Amino acid sequence: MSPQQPPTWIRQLLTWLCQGHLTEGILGDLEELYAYELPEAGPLRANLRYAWRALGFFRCTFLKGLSQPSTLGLMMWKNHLKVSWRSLLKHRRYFAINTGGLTLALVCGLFAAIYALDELSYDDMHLQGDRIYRLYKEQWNPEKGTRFAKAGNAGRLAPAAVEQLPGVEQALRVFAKTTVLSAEKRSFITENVMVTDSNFFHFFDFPLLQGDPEKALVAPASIVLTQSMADKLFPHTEALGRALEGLADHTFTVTGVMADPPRTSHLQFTALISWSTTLENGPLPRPFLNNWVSQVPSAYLMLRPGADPAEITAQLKAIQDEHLPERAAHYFPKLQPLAEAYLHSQDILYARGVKQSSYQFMLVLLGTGLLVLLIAAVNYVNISLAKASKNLREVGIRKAVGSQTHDIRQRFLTETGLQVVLASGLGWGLLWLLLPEFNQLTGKSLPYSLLWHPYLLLGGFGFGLALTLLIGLYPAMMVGAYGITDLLRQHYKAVSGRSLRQGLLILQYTLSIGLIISTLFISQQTRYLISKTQRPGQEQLLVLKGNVEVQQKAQQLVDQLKTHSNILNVTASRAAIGGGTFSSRILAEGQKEPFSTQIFRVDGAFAETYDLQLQAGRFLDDKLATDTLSVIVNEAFLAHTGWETGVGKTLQYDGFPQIYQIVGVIDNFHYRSPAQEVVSPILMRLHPHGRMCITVRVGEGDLPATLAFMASAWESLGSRTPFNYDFVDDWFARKFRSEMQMLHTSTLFSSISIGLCLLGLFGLTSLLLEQRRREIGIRRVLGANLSGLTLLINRPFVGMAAFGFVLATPLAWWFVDTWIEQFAYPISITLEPFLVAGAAALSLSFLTVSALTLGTARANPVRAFD
Amino acid sequence: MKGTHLGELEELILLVTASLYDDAYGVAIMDELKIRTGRKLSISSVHAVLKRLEEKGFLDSRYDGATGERGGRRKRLFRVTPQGEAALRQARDLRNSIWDTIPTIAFDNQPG
Repeated sequence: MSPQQPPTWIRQLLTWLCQGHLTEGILGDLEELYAYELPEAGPLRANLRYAWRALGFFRCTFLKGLSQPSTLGLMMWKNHLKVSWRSLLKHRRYFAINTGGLTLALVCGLFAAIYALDELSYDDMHLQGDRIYRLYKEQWNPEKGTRFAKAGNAGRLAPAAVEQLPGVEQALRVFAKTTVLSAEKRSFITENVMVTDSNFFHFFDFPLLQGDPEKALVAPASIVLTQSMADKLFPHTEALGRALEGLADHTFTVTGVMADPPRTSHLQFTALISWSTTLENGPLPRPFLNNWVSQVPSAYLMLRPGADPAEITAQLKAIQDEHLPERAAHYFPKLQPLAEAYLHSQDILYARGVKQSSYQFMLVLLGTGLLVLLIAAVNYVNISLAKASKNLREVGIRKAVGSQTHDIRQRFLTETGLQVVLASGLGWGLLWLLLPEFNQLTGKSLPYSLLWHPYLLLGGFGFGLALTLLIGLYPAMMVGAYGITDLLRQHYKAVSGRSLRQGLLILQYTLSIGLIISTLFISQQTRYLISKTQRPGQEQLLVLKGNVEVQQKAQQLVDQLKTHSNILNVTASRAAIGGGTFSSRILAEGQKEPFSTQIFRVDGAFAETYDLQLQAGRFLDDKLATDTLSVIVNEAFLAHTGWETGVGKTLQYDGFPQIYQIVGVIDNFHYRSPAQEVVSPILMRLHPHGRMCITVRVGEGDLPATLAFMASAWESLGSRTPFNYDFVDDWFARKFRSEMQMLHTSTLFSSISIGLCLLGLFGLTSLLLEQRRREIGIRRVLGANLSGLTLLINRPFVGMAAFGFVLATPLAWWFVDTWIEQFAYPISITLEPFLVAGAAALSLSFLTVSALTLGTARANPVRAFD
Repeated sequence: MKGTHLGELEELILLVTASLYDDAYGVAIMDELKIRTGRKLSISSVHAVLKRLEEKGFLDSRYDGATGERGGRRKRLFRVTPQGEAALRQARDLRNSIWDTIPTIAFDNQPG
């Protein structure tokens, strides 16, 4: 038996669909031809030919149940199709409501499906991907009992693992950085320039277009550009072999050009720099990438086949503890399969050069997509049941001339199937048109090709069939099951299905009220988080980001900028609020253990520019010579040390002798996204080095002119870094991307769900009113007033909405409670959103029913007796 | 009742089946047909014709002769039934009888 097998699923499909006694012969022949062709054609082409041949067997002759189409059966189907179409056209209003509702719901469902398909397809381009693991670490704080996952590890850990652990085949370190690349007088601020090991092209299957994969990343100061970066830097010439200026103004040689990383790779980079550049004897020694203490680069490990990741994890911990025993209680190296690196890594902090996405969001999207579909399906069943009485005469006649029950069922299933097919087609088309909008809504770039994904087509077909049976079978069985005399006498009571209808309506109310409640809470939580980062006047702040050479001339730039009338404050600092920070370990007075503290190197204008509130003491002063040993801390710092007051206390950097004195305490402002983290301790001090961020507070004046002035001031520095600026509030807005995505999507889906609910209610009420036309006419003649009639019709709906509200409350409570748990600053669950959602659903349904009732009731009663 | 008319392809496949005698199954018939006539049929078409011939009663089939390269599956071997033989003979007789009526001169297309 040859080791290579044709695709099993094709075999399975043929086995299912072909007539039993033929299958063995067909499969045998196919396999024989396959085995015959395999050696010369290769597995791919042999598989393709196999599939092509198998396709030939999907014809009536071979398939189950279709081999001998009876002429009578075929004619009946034709008749069913014709009559169904006529019946749909006759009841146009309900046809439109049903098909429109289904279409809308299918668009949502389809979008959720392609979104999930795309999310699940990440990182499947690497042949050895199932053996690749991402190395990260869990950091424990034994005193507080807190745990964080962090992307960074010691730079020495991964190479040591390859050397010492037989289960590790190779390792790859990566360290992504934003830097300026320039060549031929063109400079670009480039994100995700990645320092990485020389085995990069052995480890991952990213194709190298030019250059030698063995040598490209071996020599120090080598750089491999992605195609798009090469085109930007060298638009007119071949990039390979050229020199460019990069990291820290050093000159690099282009040793390769590679394809851009695919959109569906979690690892994203624009250029690769050889790791040897950063070694002690290299041109740019970077000790923090190559020692056991600093926890900076990320790494990936490729295990040998059969190696146990749990065992390797334990061995990694042992290696780490051997070299860094003082952090043994804190650092725990962990392995994550490559397949999870994209969708299951949102809690891994400080990862650079990677794309992440939320698994939870995907589940929520799929869930709400299904709920919306469920609501549309309920509409269909409800309207079909209520409409069944209109079909009674047709069913009676069919039965009288000899139709069997299953014929009647077929007839009504055809009607359902017709609408499902129509709605699917429309839904597909609509999604095609709306894909750009959906992409914007969810912040994705899903390609159109996903609409033709085989899984989607196959799943769509199966789902359509299931939907037809699900929503069509019960109404079809109902009308099929009655006696001829009942039917011909149009004995309405015979067909009621009222309790089912009411149950389904309650379900609908429950789902949409639940969705509205959840959306209101999501909106509250998001607004709450955003408000935490908003300080008055923040929109006036912008940051110019420089490079190493800019920092030396920072003071010159600051002085020059201050001369402009529309520039209110200028400050130079190493980190800007909202733009990332640097941390160190600080030993505070009277404490035994140093702790991690975010360090802001600032100048004296920092507090004023950012409008920080001092709680005690004073801010730093550039003019006081003694202030080089003074620091400012925040309230979180005091909370951590347990001090009542901070001013006057001293501290030092772990392992350094200088003593600093605290002269002021500032409030807890947010300098990161408040979604996952509470404010942690920070420290500010005057330090002239490394001030690469120039923060400017501009006035109300002419912004473009001010920007032009800043640009010219920047140019006069003669820096290689192009003039660039970011608004601080934009930085924060970007941090809330995933929360905004959730908010937008849930708003859309809950509006659609309530819209569908009302649409269904509209259809149902108008059917009921038609049936009760005479009753209403008589009541009017006997003197009933309009408000009384409106209440009469409304009463059952109000009851059902109220019941739905009661059911929705605990469900939504549970969901919201689970969802807000992930936030460092959760909102408290209040009564208000529940009441708002309940009142909205109740009043909207009341308005819909009342409007319809008034229409019928105000008609001349005489017409009811035509 | 299905018609018992024998189409051209049906006749060829019936003949090939008869000539292969005890080893007439899908792939073998397809290959033989290609060698004899140069016609490249897809395997599914061959199966379709075989099924039709069986339904008309000209062929019967049995399962036998599993091999490794077929993934251990047996071959569906076909044999011509007496009705099939009769149909083939009838077709040949029909042609022969018409041939016999063609005057020699009818094919004498030499330019005069």
